[in-house]
Amino acid sequence: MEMTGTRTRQIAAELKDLLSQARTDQVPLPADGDVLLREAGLSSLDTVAFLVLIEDHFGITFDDDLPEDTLRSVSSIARYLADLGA
Amino acid sequence: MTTTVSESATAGSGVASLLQRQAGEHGRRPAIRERGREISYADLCEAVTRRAADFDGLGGEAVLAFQPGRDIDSLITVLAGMVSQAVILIADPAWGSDELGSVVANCGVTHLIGRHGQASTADGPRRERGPAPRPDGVSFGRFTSGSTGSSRCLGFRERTALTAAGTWAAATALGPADRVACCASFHNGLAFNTSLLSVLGSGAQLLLPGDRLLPSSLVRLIETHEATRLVAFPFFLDLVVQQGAQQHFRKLRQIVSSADRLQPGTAAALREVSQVCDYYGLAEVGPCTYNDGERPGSVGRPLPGASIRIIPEPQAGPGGAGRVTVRTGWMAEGYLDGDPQEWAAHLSDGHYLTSDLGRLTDGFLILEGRVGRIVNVGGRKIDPAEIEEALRLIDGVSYACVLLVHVHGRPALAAFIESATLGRADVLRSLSGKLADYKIPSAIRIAAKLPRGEAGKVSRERLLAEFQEG
Repeated sequence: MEMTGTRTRQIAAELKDLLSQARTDQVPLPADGDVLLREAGLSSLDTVAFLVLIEDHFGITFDDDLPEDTLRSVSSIARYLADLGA
Repeated sequence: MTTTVSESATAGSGVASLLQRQAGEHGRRPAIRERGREISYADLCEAVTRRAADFDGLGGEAVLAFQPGRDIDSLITVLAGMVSQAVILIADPAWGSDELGSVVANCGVTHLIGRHGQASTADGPRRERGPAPRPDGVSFGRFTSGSTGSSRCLGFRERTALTAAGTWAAATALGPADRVACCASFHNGLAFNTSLLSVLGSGAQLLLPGDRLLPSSLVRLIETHEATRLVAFPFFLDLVVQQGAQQHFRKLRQIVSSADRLQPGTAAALREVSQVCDYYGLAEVGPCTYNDGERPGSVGRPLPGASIRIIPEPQAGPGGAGRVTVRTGWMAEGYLDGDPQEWAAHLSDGHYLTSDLGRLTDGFLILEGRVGRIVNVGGRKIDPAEIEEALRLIDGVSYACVLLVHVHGRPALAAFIESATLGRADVLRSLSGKLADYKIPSAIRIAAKLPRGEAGKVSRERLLAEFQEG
């Protein structure tokens, strides 16, 4: 369980780096804690670009049936990716 | 099961007749496919007829506002609205409550239609002069993208829409063997002009990728259903190439892109795997040109039934460029949210005065810019003045301007706001629901004082320079 938690935190940190590459506006992100995508300064185009960066970086493809909640925040995406074994 | 046939359908209206004819000819063949579901031509005809009868039950004067998704049920509703006696207004699904409320007020909307066709009475204030007079024969309404300020509602005849669809299908050699993957939303001209009535009228199949669209999901759709044609906005094709996903497009016969120029690298990568086509169209006049790739840099030759004239324009500069004016056999009948003479003011000798600057070379239309401040973000044309007006109405804002910036190679809207009291979250909260998400600036800079020139005017050049410097 601890291993999973550690990996999820690592993924979350990597996601914040990718977020910086996708965002138009570099509003400060909290160093600790979750980041809601809606509040991270992502336009709709930025969001698609962010998801493409994630697919490339982690070598995964998002499932068409992915619940909308999964893409709500950095931590929810990190949990999804950790569960995939990314 | 008994099917109630819409009175309009039995009267042989254009779209109803088309669907009945195609149901007879193509029967159980799939007409539309989405993930996990498909509908045959026969079932589509029955579903549209049944839903049109429901809309007829709302009364002959009903005006329906509908925000479609990218799914089969939404398309059934759009078609049923055209077939019924009601007028259906096909609205942007990204609009917030204020924008939709404005449509309800100005267009005399009587009912709001849900995704599955369910009607609810439209409440809210109405314009004092009463609903705008409706031009004769109008059966549906589409909206401008906002390049004339806020979006305007245009009325169209069903039969002329069918003419446009038939013209497009013939010009682009669309046939029953085609399977068209359309990445645009139905309210948008790119989908409406290239992928709805033209596909169904040709006996082809329409493939819908769903509301969350990524290059990977598009590849699955294209490979699963062996698509022959792809319709997508340039910004999405940029992402496709960025991910190398175009390698999966080798079986595509055509890629149709529009609304903005493809980046040279994207165009070159796509041309290695398929034919890359472009066209020019506007909400007011429908599809106008088609370029099958023969002349890169051009949006193509006028379609049969379309006339393009270039008139001198002081802003256009030397070299024969001028204001593009267009007349088509399927153009709008007029505004549904304004007075009849207002539409006439946009016409010159029957040609619609666009905001585009361009030239005709060897019969090919080459676009060279736009009149005024209209900007193009991801294929959506936006007037920054509309956003500035919304920002200036926020308590605590003394000045605001909105500019186009480029970040990570992508265009984006940046708002520069003069306020001593507000923060970014306050601004976003105030705009939420008032503007569609795509109009909300993705970069927001707030300062007690913005840089000004000697005359006291805010210096947009300095704002841009400071933004790009970070």
